[in-house]
Amino acid sequence: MEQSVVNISQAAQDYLVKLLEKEESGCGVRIFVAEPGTPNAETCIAYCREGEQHQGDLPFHYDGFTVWYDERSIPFLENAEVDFREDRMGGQITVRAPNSRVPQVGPDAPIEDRINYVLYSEINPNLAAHGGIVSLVEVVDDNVAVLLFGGGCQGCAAVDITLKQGVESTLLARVPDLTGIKDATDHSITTNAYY
Amino acid sequence: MTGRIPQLSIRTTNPLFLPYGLLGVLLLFFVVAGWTQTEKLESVSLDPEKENDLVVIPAPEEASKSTYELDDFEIEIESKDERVKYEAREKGTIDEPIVHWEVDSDEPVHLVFDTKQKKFQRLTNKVRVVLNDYTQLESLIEETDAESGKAYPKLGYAVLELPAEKHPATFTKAVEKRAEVESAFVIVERPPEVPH
Repeated sequence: MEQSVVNISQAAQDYLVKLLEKEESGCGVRIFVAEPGTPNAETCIAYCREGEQHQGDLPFHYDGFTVWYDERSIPFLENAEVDFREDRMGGQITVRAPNSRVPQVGPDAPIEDRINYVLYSEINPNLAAHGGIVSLVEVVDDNVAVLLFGGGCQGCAAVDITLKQGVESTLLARVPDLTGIKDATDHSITTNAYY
Repeated sequence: MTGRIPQLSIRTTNPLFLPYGLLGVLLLFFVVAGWTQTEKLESVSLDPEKENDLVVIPAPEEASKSTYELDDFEIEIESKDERVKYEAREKGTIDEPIVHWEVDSDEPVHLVFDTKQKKFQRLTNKVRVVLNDYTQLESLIEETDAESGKAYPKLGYAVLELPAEKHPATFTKAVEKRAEVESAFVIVERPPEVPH
């Protein structure tokens, strides 16, 4: 018997079966890590009705329900555990994913993970001196990274220099298959701007 | 002149000739009916846990005829102005036919018809393969001319990526005959996500 990617305890399985019985037939759960490999990583379990699976999601069938794993999240779900703890309020599902924030930057890693690794290990520590932070929104066609600046960088008068000379040059040097950078930040908001 | 007209009218309405006319019409009907109902379309599996009935739809250029009869459906394939129309009618109902359009291009499109969900679906160029030994994945990729593959032993399968021209349904049927393969399943395309 396979053991699935995430170890879902029997108590958690029983609880999920009960929950899903109330939903429409064929409803399962989807497990994914939002912003994997970054300090903001969050492991999520969501209802997944028939047809709501994402392209590339990988199924695993338990007795009574199906778990759909986000393919990209699988390395970050290594050693993850889902449990159910009863308490006076009824109980709650607990998720432990010790590797969700650990960067996975092997040669086969998706470009998003390699960009995030450079952002969080090199670029953000430097921007932090000005109270700034930059995060990856998405990678669009032709490997162009769309970035979002926050903190002291949002609305900063020097953001173009930061973007061109700091962020873009570092990212293009570290991630060779990256072709360009776009800034999706609304810089009209200057509340926290450094300059 | 006057003698010819009655002769003609006698020829078309004479009851002696009627059985030959009817026979001809019946013969033509059987020939046409036989042409459109005999070929059986291949079915393919989506998931070991689900009873999906996916019927493989031939590509327009491979279709030997334009109408296919299934147990409960009749499927028509028709090329129209650089587009291909696929139409499924459920037998014994007066429901609107299920229609699916594709642009007629050189890019291969691999379609199935889901008789349970009553819809046409595109197949991705990926298949899931259950192996009895995942160390054989590399040799399987090489010998089957798959493009690449990744094993997920914890999930109990590997995912193989196929070249665009390879039909995933044909591939799964062929690969299932190999000793190291326990079963193989196609993967359908998900509809594109619409931003909220």
